[in-house]
Amino acid sequence: MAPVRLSNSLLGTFRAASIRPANAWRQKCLYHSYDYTESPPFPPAESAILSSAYNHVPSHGFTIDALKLGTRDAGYLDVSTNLFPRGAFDLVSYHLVTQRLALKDNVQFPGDGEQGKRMGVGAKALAIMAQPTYIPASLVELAKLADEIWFLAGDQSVDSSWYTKRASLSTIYSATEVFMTQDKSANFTETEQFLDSRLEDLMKIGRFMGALGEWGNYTGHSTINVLRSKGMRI
Amino acid sequence: MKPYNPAVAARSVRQCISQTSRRMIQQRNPTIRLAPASSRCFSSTPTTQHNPTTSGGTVDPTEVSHFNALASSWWDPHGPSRLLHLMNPLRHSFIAQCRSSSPSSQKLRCLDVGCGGGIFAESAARLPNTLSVTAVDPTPEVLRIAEGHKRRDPVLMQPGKLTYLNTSIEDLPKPASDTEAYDIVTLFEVLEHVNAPGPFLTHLLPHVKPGGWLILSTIARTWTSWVVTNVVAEDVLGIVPKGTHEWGKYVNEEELRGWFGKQEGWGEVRSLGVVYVPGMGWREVDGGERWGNYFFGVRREV
Amino acid sequence: MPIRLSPGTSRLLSSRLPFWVTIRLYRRFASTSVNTPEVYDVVCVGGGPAGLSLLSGLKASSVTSSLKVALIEGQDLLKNRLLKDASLESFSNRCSSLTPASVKNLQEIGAWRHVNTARVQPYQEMQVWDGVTDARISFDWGTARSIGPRNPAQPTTIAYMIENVNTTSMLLSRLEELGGVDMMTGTKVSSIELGTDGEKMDLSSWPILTLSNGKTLAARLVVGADGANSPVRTFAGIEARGFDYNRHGVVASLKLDGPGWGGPEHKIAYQRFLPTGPIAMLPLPGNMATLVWSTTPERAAVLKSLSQADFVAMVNAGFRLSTTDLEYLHTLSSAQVDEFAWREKHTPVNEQAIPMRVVDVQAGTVASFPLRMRHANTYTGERVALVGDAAHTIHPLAGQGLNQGQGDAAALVRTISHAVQTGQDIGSTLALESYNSERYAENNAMLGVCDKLHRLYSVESGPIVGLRSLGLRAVDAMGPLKGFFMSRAAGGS
Repeated sequence: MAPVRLSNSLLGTFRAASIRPANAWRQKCLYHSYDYTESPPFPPAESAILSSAYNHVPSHGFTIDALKLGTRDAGYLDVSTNLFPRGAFDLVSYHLVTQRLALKDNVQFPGDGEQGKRMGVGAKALAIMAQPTYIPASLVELAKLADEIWFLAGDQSVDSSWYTKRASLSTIYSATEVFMTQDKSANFTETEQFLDSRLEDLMKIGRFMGALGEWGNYTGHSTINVLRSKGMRI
Repeated sequence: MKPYNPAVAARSVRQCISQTSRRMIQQRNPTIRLAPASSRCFSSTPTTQHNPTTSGGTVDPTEVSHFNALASSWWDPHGPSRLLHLMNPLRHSFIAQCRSSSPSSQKLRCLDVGCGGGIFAESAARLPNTLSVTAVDPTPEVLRIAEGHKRRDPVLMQPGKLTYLNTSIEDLPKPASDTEAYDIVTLFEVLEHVNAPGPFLTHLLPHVKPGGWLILSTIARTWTSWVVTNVVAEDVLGIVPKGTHEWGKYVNEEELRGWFGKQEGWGEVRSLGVVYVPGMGWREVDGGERWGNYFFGVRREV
Repeated sequence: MPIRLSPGTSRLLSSRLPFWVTIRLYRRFASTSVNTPEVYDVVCVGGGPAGLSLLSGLKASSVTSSLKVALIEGQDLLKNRLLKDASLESFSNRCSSLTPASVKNLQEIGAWRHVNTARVQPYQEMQVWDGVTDARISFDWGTARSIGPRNPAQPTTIAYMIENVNTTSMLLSRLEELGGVDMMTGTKVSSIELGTDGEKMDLSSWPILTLSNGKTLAARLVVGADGANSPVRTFAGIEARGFDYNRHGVVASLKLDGPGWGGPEHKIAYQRFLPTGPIAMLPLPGNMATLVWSTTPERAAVLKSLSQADFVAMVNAGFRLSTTDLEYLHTLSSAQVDEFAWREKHTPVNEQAIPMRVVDVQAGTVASFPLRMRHANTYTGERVALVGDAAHTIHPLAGQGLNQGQGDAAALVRTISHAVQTGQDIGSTLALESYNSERYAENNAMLGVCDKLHRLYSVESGPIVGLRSLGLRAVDAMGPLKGFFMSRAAGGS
């Protein structure tokens, strides 16, 4: 009787999760906003299973085995892994989401002395994320991460640079992740250097584009002024 | 505003062609004449082709109302009268050219007929060798603008320097003696707006002092001038207000020469063709008096 | 006093000129007003080289000499005049390079013969090189070829170094000789407003200037020659666009080891493009020279605070050491003398290709000014014209600023002259059109070139450095092209 009740309640949660209220749908947005409280990314049952499975990741990696062990630890049936149709990807996703949400507690600024917390998923997880079915979800996660990082860094832009900043940071982050998979140096120092030079490039380009924009604006106006001085009515 | 009438033009053009072809058979002139030979009526009565005035005078009321409508924008440097503003310096250099043949150092008295908003009148009054300028125009609204603009320059407000009179040339009292006549009588861009150029000029002649000059500018009546001043300037580019020029009223330079040749006591004649190039302004053109805008100066003999 | 819009302003509102100010308020003068404005034809606000040149040109030409003109200048010009017997051991730190075209212009208006010739230094050669790669170009008429047969009477002088005070004194002397100018020096303009439409005259389009001494002038044409922050330009509602370069130009008067490698008859000017900005050494009579060093504001502040010996060492380092050594020296706050002496030993340098060693700097002449580029949207408005720095501000790296002002003044004299000859109102926009048309495009091109040169040479590494060095060497090798650039820089004469 207990397992039936359990599966019923599980299925009930699942059903409840799938029938979201209408206004929750409308509220769903891809960026951080104080006006919108993001609903928890995972329903409570899935969340419980995934958090226990997470503890098994160091030993078993991002695999179905870790998930199974996790469901057992959480007190659910083995078959509950069917709650996760995307399999290992859900575990990866859980890892990414929880790390992202934990960013604001872990943000370190230069001069604080402490080492920043390392984030990274490893080659296997990258391989899972790169599977064609999961690419859209991975990209969404990447975008959310870039947005989170910029927000915590204090970005307040309200023009097109909002988009370009997040796009460029996403690129840098992905590149750094890939670099990290083959980095054999102690404490990933090479990855840090790689990241620093990529960020420096970004700053240089930003300065250059800013100066280019200013120059372009001036040149456009001065061309019009020259034509007007010659008698053209514009 | 009287709209441009293509039928009138077509009729004139047909006349020109038939007359020109007859002329070309008669005279075996190897050069190709650009000017059709039909003559502008220099008879003593105005033609019925245009709107006659009730008084039988030379002032055409449709022309008067056309210019009244343009009055307020006369002095706008980028407005409809811009071409007149740009032409003004050339007028002065032409006058200087004419007077160079008989230089004198005394100060001049000028009469500007059909002064409009006073573009030429003001500039003549400012020159150092001008004693006084009298400017007449039959259009009251335009003269009001001219008076208003004159008040902006203290130099012009000096008593007797620049006087505006709202009258037609027939009503302007004739000078009692030679000293009351003028050294220079100017008639810029007027002749192509009057009903009958012959009687009009006849009224003008007594106002010129012996030894003085009558200087006018107008447009020749040719294919080219029709294209340039009516089609291109008015219709295509829009740099001249629509309805300003009526091709049938243009006067050819030979007609003027011939007419003045018949007048007693009028001698030296000078003419200068000019053309407006958009973006470059007015330019002198050799031979331009045969087909386009031109200046014409004639001296009254002493 | 009631305030209302005059009927004149509504005409201005409807005018199609896009850069005219939209609203002007005026106050009705009381009927028993003491201040009936005195009517002038030309009022020149600003007594710098451009303004003085304009007035001299107007008074020197027979066509315009009868115009009633006034000069308004805040400083006491007579007090700052150059003394005839001023010592040749000390020079002012504000010097400019006059092109042959500007000198020709000054000769034509009859001002050049009043110049203190002993304090003017013509130079015949210019050495320019890249601080990063040492790519070099040398400008002199000996190696340049003109396109077409060379005019044998072409002078070999590239330009003339002259102190600004010498230029203004020369023009003042000429103005005194010509007479006819109401000089209101030591007075500032408190306000400029449009006049009223009275019973006798309609001055609603005339600028009325109120001076600090209470006098009012009605100007047919107001000429703004009042510098980069021109109040006349603000009155006319003309906007000036441009950028701040985030650089300061450090100037100083220096004493060198000798008269220069070419001797006193063949003086050479030097300019080295460092990544932070060019450092230029321009020759003055005898062993003297003037320095213009464009660098960051922080470094400029440090340079100004150095002792004389340290400053001299820094200037020598600027021409001798590599950019990395120089970077290090900039981080020191003192004792650059020793550091420079040590590093110099390890830096091979061709002494003949760089300026002679600096031995001393004249006390009190180390100063700096911010560098920026500004260009007004137009040079003319209704009864307003702008000349000189009021119209445009340029980077000093090509030495063109003063010359542009002289060119402006000459062009405005021509425009006013033509207007007077054809009886036009000299302040009308129609009369002033030709001035704008003549000068705007030309000045714009020069400003653009200097701006691009500055940006090109600000790059420290990357492919652009190699490309610009290639370009520089290529131009150096092509005589006719070099000749073309030299004649353009000389004023196209």
